[in-house]
Amino acid sequence: MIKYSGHNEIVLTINGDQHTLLIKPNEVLLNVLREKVGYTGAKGGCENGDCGTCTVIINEKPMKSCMVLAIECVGKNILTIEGLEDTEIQNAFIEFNGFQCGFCTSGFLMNAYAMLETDPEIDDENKRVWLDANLCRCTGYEGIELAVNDAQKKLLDKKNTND
Amino acid sequence: MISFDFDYYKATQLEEAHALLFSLLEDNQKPVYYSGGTELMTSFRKGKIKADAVIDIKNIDGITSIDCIENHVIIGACASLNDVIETFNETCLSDVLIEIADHTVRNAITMGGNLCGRLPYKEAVLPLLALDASVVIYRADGLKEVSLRNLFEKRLRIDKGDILYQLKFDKDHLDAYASKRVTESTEIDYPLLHVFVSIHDQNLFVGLSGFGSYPLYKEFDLNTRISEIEDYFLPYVKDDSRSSKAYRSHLFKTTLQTIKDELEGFDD
Repeated sequence: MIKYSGHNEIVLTINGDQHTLLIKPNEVLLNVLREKVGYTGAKGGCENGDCGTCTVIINEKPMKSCMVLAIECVGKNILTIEGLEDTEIQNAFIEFNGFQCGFCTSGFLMNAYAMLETDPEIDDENKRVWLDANLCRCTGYEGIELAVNDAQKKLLDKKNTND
Repeated sequence: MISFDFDYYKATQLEEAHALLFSLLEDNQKPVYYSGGTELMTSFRKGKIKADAVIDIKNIDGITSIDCIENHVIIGACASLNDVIETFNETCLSDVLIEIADHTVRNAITMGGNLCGRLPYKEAVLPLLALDASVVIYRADGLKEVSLRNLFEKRLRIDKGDILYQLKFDKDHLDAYASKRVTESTEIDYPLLHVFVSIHDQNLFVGLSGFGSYPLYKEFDLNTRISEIEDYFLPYVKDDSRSSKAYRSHLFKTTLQTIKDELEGFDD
C-alpha cells in the first residue's frame, strides 16, 4: 500500500508532459493545475461540482477537477484546455462565438471534446445529457450549441473522407 | 482547498484497507474510506467531515469491475454510475442512475458511494431493492454475501470499517417497471420525490426517495388498491424548506396514479 503524508514529490502527466510537483494529500487538482503547474484554463466556479468550469479530462473521461484530489491522479493522463490547441471544437467555439464572458468556456470545451471523442455520432438528446453538466451564467447556450454541432459535423466529414 | 491535512493511502487489497482502518482507529485517528470522493470532497471543504487519513479503496482488485455471466450481474462497489449506465443501457438500473447528478459527476460517483454516503436520497438503492440484489461485504472474517433487503433499513446497515465490495443481481428479474422523478425546478437536483415501481411475479414493489428522511420501500400484492399503497407511505412524508408535506403528498399521489396508468399489469 502506498502512503502519502505531508509534502510529497509526485509526477502528474498533463497534456502528455510529465510534471514533477511537491504537493500535500489535501491539495485539490484544480488548485494544483492553476497554482503549481500554471495551467489557468480550468476555472474555479462553484467549487462544489455543480458548474463545470473546472472540467478536465482524466483518462479520457471528463471530470470536475474541483472534486478530485491531485494525489489521486498519479499514473493517470490529464488533459486540460491548454492541450486542446487547434482542435475542431476550439476553432468552432471561435467561429460561432460560443462564449460571452468566457468563464465557462474551457469547461464546455473540455466536456464537448470528450463527448465527441467518445461518441462522434452522438444525437441531440445525448448531447444535452453530456453538456447539462456545464453552466453558462451569461446564458450563451445558442452559440455553444452551434459550435458543438459544427465541430461534430466537421469531425464526421473528416472521418467519412478518411474512410 | 481543503483546510486540514490528512494522510492518503492507496489500498490495493481489501484486507490491507480494512486492517489499516482499524489500526488507525486504535491510534485515535479519524480515517475514512474514499472512492469517487464527490460527497467527501464537498463535506471536507465545508468542514462537515474531518479526517486524519483517507484510504482510497478504488484500486482494490475487482472493486470497479462489472461482469455479466448469462443473466447474473456482478458490479464492483466502486464502479462509476456512468460505467453501470453504459453497460446496462435502457434497464431499470440505468433509468434510475441517469437521473442522479450530471453526466460529468456521474464519472466520479460510485455505486457504493451512492448507497453508503450521508446524503439521504441513495436513489441507486431503489432498483437494487426491486431486483432483490445481494451485497458482498468485506468484514474481519472475510467476504460475506447478504440480501440487500435484509441489510437496508433507512441506510445500509454495515458495521464500522466493513467495506461494500460488490452488488449482485439477476438482470431479467423484473417483469415491468416505471421510474418517475420530480425536482424543485431544474432537472439536475436532488429529488423532491422519486417513485420506482416494479412488478415481479404477482408482487408490486414500490420504492421512494426524497419523500421521507430516508429511502422507503415495500412489496405489495399486485392486487393491492392504490389507496392502501398511499396509506402505507403517507405517514413517512417529510416537511422541509424545499417542499411542504402537503405538496409532497400531492406529488406522490399524482405520480403513483400516473405510473398506474402507464405501467402494464398495475391495475387498481
